Amino acid sequence: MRYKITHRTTYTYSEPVPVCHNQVLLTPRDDPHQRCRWHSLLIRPKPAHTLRRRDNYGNHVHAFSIETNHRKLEVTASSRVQVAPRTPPDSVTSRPWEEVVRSVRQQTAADWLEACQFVFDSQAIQAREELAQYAAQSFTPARPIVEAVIDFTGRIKNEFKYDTKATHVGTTTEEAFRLRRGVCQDFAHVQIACLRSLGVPARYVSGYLRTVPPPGKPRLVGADQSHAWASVYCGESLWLDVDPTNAVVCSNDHVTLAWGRDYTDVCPIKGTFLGGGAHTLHVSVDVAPLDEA
Amino acid sequence: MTAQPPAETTPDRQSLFASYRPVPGHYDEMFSADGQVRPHWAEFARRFEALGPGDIKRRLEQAQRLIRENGVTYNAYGEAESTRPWHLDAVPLLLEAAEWRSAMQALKQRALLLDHILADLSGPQQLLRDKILPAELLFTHPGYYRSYIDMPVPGKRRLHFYAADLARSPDGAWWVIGDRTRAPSGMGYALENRIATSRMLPSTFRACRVERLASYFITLRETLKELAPQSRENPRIVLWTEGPSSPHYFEDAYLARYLNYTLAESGDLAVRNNQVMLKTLGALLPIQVLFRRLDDDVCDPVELRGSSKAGLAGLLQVIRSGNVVAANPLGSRLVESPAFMGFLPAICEHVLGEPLAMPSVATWWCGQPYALKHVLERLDDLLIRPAFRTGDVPPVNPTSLSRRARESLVASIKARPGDYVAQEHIARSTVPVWTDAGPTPWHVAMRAFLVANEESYAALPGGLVRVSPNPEVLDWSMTAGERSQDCWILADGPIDQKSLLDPEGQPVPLRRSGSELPSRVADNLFWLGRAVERAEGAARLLRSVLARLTSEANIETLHELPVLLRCLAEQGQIEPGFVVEGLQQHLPAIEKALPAAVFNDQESRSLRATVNEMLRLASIVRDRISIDAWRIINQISQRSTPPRFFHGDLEASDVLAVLNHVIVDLASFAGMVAESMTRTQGWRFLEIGRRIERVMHTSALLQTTLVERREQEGPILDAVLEVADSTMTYRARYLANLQVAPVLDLLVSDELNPRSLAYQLARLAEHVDQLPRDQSIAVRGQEERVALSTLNAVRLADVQDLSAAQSDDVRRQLERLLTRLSDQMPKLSDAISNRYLIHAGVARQFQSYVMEHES
Repeated sequence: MRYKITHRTTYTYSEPVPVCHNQVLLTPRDDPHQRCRWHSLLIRPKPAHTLRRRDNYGNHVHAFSIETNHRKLEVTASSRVQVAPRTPPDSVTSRPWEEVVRSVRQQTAADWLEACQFVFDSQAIQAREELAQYAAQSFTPARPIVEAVIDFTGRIKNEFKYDTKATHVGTTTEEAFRLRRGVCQDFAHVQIACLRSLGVPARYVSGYLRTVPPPGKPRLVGADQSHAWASVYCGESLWLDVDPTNAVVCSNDHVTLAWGRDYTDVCPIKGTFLGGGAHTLHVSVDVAPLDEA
Repeated sequence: MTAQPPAETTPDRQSLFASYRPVPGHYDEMFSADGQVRPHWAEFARRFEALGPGDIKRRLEQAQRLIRENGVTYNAYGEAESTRPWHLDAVPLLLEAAEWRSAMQALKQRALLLDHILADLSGPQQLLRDKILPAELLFTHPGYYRSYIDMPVPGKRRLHFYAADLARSPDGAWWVIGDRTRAPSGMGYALENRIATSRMLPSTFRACRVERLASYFITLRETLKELAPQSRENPRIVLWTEGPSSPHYFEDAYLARYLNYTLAESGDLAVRNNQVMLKTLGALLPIQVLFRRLDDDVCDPVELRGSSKAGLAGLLQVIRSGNVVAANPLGSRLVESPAFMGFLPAICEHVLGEPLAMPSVATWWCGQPYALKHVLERLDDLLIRPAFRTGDVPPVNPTSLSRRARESLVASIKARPGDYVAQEHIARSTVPVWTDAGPTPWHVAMRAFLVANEESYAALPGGLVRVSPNPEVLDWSMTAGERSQDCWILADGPIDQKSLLDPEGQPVPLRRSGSELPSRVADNLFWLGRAVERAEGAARLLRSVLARLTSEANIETLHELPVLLRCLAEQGQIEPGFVVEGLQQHLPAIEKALPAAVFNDQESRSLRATVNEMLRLASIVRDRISIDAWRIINQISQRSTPPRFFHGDLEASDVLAVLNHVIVDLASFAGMVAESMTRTQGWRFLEIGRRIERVMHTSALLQTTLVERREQEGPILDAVLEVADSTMTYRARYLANLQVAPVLDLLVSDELNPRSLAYQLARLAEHVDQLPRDQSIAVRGQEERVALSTLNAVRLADVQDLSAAQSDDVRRQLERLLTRLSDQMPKLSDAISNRYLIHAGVARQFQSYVMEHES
């Protein structure tokens, strides 16, 4: 599947901003089933400096500064991405989940150090006994890990209510878990927190989801949004991407932008500015499939 | 060694220490176990005893006074007591060079080791791969940011400054109690201790052949210089301080002055054009090296702790680009965590192939199951600390806890074992401390300092010694302990006489200006000038009013009094209600309210509030004004308080006495500025502030008193001259013949009178003309236009026209001129601020947004 993705973020200020420093993660990374064929990052006004680097997780980061007075900042990331369907691993024959946990804990897995980065607490996610117990209903003794993860993903979709009003960007994982409500960011955080509480490494993935319009309706341009889900370590070199908001195993409808320990590692845009008075933010995302569905 | 030591003449020379009894079970630094003075203390003991208790007391008091004055010079808000956590002691701690060298050799190894660990953790992480260090220890560390990884650091080292907290156990061995790898504090205090102690005991100091500290600071300067990108000949280095609110500010300011670096707060710096810039009056100047005194994770709000307002947005990107170097590098704090201590012996063997030369106090990181078990079993023998130190958190001694608190501690450890370490106690050595009861054994905590050099590390030949009668207190934090001692390393070879203060034999390049003037400092000097002048204006007006209220004359006959009261009301010093009608009936209320109003610091325009503002501004620029000028300001502040031991209502006459003192002090401050301050841009901004304020004050005074023509203007003219400090000049010219035109000539047009409006405006025009500006731009700036146009308006005004009143008894010409000045002065102030002083507001975060998606 090929996509053309346009992600535009606009900040408008009531007073001029003389200087701002920013960092954005808006360039899709490559992985075995995804290739970014073309990408452009357009920043208006033109930055004094732009520097591109890979962060510790291999994500593409652009840092830029604007040093001229501006009342509007517009960042437009355009990408053409090719995504191959992923064949989900056979759930029944996968290893018992405790074995996977042990292979990381005892550092026997070849990629234990990589996996290890995603098993401990991070800024937005803290392991707790209560979360482990919640996950344990899916993670019954010796259950194959892929089966357990898929079951657990479905439970979050069923037992949590999707509610854009209940949470905001600063809502803690603990609070979202207590409310049993939230948006994709909260669902992903809750799932990851539960898995880590059991000792299963899991990372936070930021990206996009292809939207399928209702039957007979045209696809609305710009109505899409950023998305987030979890990627779970299921044994050596096997990371299974699951989407708790939609209760699916990710295949070629999901486009990966970046991953990290939680939202704070992969925040699409962050930065500081001087002055500016009141500011408003507008985001528009368009995920257009280039092939016939 | 010159004259015979006077000690020879004192018969009972051991008497001073005769009653000194070392504490059993502890090593004593001065006396061996058999009660003999250790040989390296003998010379000191003889000379010290020769001084006798009286002389020691006198010298100590003198030294403590010096330290207090340093405190007054450097510390914020004049709180001399809080500059130093401890008093200086009369006795130094003496150590033999050979012993110290071997201890420092061990610490060099340790610094190299920590440097290696830091480099590894910020890059290949081989120590984790080789399973020498648990991955959890790094990945759960709250100070570990992924942004630190692969951050370039020029040169061989990632750790430029290292300090070790040491204790000596009963067998005489030194142990490392803690490592400091962030921005180790204490070297400034060690330096201050040395300067004060060597002055207190000059001949003893010389006779004992003490190693000098300067060589260490010379190395430190070399190291920082070498770090500069593109190996520039003369890199710009700043000492980056948290600012006056930080507990380390005294040290930062003291070190900056000693090392001759510009002291810069985050507000003085900015990231522009992918470089770190110092915001000065003339221009933004690129910085090559930041001598960092801030916590690692507040340094850059873009990539590190986002909520931090303390740092410099975009700094990490500049470091990554190699355009600036921070020392210590960001992330250096990681390895000072006590959690690492238990792993150091193994890492040392693994990495350096040799045993760790100086042992750490036994430390268990509870994140490991066997360590946790061990710790819980013998909890009462141990101290519990946070594993990832984020500040000076005192350790917990489980034996001192109630049963309940102890249970809750155990529960916390079991819940998050990785957050805790446990350490054994060390029975710390003792040293004589000079108390009222004579020398008394107190316990010793020593901090040693190392700086990276060409080969490995250089150690400060000395250290910061803290002493306390209660050894537990010393474990709490760097600032804990009652006293501090100088540390003398007794040389066994030639003494390196190098000094940072006066490079002998080397011609000093001549300079006409000091280090660059940051815009923030200019801004504060400008407002200081305004505050000083405002205080003087207020005090003079108040004095004239109070003098009349307390005079024996009939109030009804004092025609100028209602007018003066209106001036006070317009300045916001009293309630406007007092000046409406019927002075006689309000008078008792005014007499009661006025003295209180003078000292009311809640009213923003009161004299007390203005003096507070003056003190605040002076305290943040006190490294730019002379010590005497700062003393005067402190004195003004102390004087503008209600008379002491006063209960009940204040009398107007008491206040009058205070005002007389304050006015004289303000005049001395002005004299200091005129006679002792070099004519740099800093002085210019102080002057601009003062002149603008005086124009505003005098215009307001004339507006209220003379625009309206009244009957019997004589007393009013007299009072105006008095407030404007021009009575003498007037009398010399016109005797007692009081008329409006000559008064206005003197106060408005006469450029020879330093109190006249024309004089202020002429000086303002000169100052503005001298401010730095882009020479390529031909158009005059706003500030130049305002300064020149107001000066011309005053010069062209005709005094006869100004004095002439129209039929409605209003002096329209005068009113027009004064209104123009009152309108233009704030504009001049703003124009100067906009052009020179405002480079920055408060940085803010972008609002993040929630991602939503559901199919």
